[in-house]
Amino acid sequence: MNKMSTVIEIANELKDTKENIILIYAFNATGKTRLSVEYKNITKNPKNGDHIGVYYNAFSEDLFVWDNDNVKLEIEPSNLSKLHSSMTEEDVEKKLIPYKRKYNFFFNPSKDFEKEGFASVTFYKLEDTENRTPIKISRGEERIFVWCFFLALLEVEGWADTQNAHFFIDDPVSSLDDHNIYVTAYTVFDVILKEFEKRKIIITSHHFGFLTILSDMLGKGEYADKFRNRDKSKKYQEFILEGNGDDLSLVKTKNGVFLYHLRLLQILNQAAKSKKVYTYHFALLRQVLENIASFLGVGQFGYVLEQIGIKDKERVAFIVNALSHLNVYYQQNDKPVPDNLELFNDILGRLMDKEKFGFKIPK
Amino acid sequence: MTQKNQHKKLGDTLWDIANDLRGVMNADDFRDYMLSFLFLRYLSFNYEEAAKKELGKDYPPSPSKDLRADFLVPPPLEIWYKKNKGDIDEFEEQMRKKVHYVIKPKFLWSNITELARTQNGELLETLQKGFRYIEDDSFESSFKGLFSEINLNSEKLGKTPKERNDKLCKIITKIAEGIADFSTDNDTLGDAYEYLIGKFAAGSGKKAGEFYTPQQISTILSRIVLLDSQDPTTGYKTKLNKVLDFTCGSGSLLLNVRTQLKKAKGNIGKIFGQEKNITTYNLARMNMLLHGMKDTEFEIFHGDTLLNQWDLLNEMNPSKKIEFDAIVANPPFSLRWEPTDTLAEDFRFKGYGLAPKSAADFAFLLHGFHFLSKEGTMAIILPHGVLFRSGVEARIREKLLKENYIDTVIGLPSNLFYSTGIPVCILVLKRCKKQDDVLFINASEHYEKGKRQNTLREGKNGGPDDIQKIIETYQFRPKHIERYARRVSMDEIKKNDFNLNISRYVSTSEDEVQIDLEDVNTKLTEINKSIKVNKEKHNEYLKELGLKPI
Repeated sequence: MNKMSTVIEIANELKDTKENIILIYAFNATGKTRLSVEYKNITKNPKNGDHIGVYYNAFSEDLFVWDNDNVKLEIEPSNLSKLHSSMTEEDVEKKLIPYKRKYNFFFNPSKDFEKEGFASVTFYKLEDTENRTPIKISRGEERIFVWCFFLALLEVEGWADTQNAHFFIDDPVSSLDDHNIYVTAYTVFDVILKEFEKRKIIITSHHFGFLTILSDMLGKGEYADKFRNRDKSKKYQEFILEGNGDDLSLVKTKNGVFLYHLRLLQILNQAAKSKKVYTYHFALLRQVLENIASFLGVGQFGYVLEQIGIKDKERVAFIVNALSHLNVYYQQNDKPVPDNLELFNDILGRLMDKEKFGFKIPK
Repeated sequence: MTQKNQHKKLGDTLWDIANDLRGVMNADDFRDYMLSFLFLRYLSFNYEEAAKKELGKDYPPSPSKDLRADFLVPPPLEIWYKKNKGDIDEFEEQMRKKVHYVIKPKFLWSNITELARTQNGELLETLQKGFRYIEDDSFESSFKGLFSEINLNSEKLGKTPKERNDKLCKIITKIAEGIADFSTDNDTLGDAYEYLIGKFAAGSGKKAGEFYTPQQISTILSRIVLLDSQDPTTGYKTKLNKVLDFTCGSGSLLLNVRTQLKKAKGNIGKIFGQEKNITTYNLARMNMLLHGMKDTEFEIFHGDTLLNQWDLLNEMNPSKKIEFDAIVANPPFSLRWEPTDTLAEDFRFKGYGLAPKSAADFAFLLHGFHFLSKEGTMAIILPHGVLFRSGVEARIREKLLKENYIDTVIGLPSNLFYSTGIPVCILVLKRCKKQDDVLFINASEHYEKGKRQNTLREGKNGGPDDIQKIIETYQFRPKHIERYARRVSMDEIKKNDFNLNISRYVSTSEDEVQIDLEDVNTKLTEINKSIKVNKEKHNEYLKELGLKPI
């Protein structure tokens, strides 16, 4: 069993980590955002209480709110607003290039531009240059926009260059589809490449695909040499944040392998062995199945079920889907009915049969 | 049709053709083809007119049944060339003296349109040779690379040479037919060209780094730099020796200065422009020629302004330094750039400081200002941030103010530009300023709200004239106009830490609602009375019912 800690202890552990790049995987609702807030608190300048680093997290995203009556994305005033005057639409557009955006936009300045910067953003269809009829963009597009807005803001004098101790990025890929997660991993990697020698960069996410891509880019990518010391040791650290409520633990990934589905299998296996399988484990099981499916280059995990010899794959897939519904996270003590428990054990057992995929399951 | 309507109608016709034809091609690519063809048409007609004059009665009549200039085939000049082989050299030499360029008959627009109309397989090759001829030989090679960005062999036109040839036939025929009925004088075509550039700029949405200055804002800048710099009340200058736009784009701002000066019955010595984007640079050169300027009347340089790649502006000998008596510019807003140690020592920036890397605004300003003559005026469009941003920009601002170089700050309404919603202002700078105060004009609340973007009103049908109001306020420099303008002393600016944010000096806030206390008092008294009356009435009822009063 791993050592349980408080969020403050974990924040301190991260602060004391000598490597400048830290990737952390955590399930939703584990405490990533709390961790980022705690990190902010413990690193504040004791003299004047100023932040010494820069954060991107749920709070950053929450600065952007839709005004549905006027169809525009409002920007809440914050202490970042005064930086807006060094930015143009073009700066954000440049960051959006890899995402193949399907809209155009312009900023609406507030009356007191010096202090309050942009009041909102209006979006319109790319081809609608004549009327510029305001449109609402999808949730995913909005997330990407906000992320790119921050990427552009980072380059403005007076923020990231003065609060230059660290850059804490908390889950920039919530609500994104696979393609955009991949693209976002690239944009994050750009930031790492540019900044990691000057400051600490902490990236957390609930999405192991996203972190796996980053891990691969750090470990095996074109610039991999940059992220190794002379003695071949890594200049980055990878963790999994686990736990519930106040009890957290930060687990180092083994042997530099950052394959979360293996970690998940380990968790599931432990649950099965100790006979403590709850409904939420179905969600984890589904994540494993999906991850293996995308690893094998297929979209649906039904294929994986077929490969491991499940005969009635459609019915099984339906059950797994039904039981991994989002709100299982809120009912973590629900036990599955015996039939479903049997199904769970069956799938897991077949997956753990390492002959099938050649996995090495960590014990 | 009036002159003004002519160019708009022609512009609209061409725009329709563009919309009709561009298909898979994006607006920017199509723009370059279309504008190049128009340019060829212009050069051809202008040349034929001159040839007609030069040859007099020797100019052969056209055998063509079609009398429209776009379809005169074979071009009369070709007939003359065939008959007078021995005189060609002498004729071309004469033409070089008269119109500064030469075009061989087979490259003339009417011949090209004929090839297009008859779906001739030679079109593409002829056109290509024609373009090359104009670049290399027509102007004695002062127009190298004019069509370099026009790739007639582009996949965008078609996969095979045959497909490309066919597509070009279609495009050229359409253009020729669409515009054949319009006058061939250079103002109409030049203005239509200008109009189209504006349309393309608006229609393409945004294109990185390229900003088209709306004509109305151009007009404000032009008129400001044309007014006498020491005493604007005396009116417009009649002669400008040298005019510069160091981020000239397609040259429309420079042409606007020329137009405004012509209106004031004045003339320009020479126009200078610099542009970094090669395609736009070529457009600027064509644009100048299309407006009837001779190649000796302007000089456009292709290069990076911030790095000062133009030798003309890099003269080390101070006595030979070139100076301009009017400078206008609309540089890209808050451009990210890479200030280096070498640049910190650059003569343009040395005394003031290097603009931060997230916004080159002040680098552009200082570049231009370095070349402003003692009697000159510079007007530059910049984002509002330059008025108040801190750090090195604050220091540059303070220096410019202390040296009394900043004459006027004009805040413009938001959303006047195609590409951005950020608020922008105009800074007017002078080297030898008479007054020791700064004039602030808050023009940001005077505009017409548009669906897509805002516009400045031009006083049509007796309505407000936002442009004129700005110019007059600048010209007569009033002490104070409520909520619009004010002359602010250097002391006051100093008290504000040299922050130039307009709202600090000219009120921009909404009027607060006035509360009439006496009126409120009366109402409250009335309410109290009414409460008393009703309470008594209510108690009467309660009493009748044998209940306790309230």
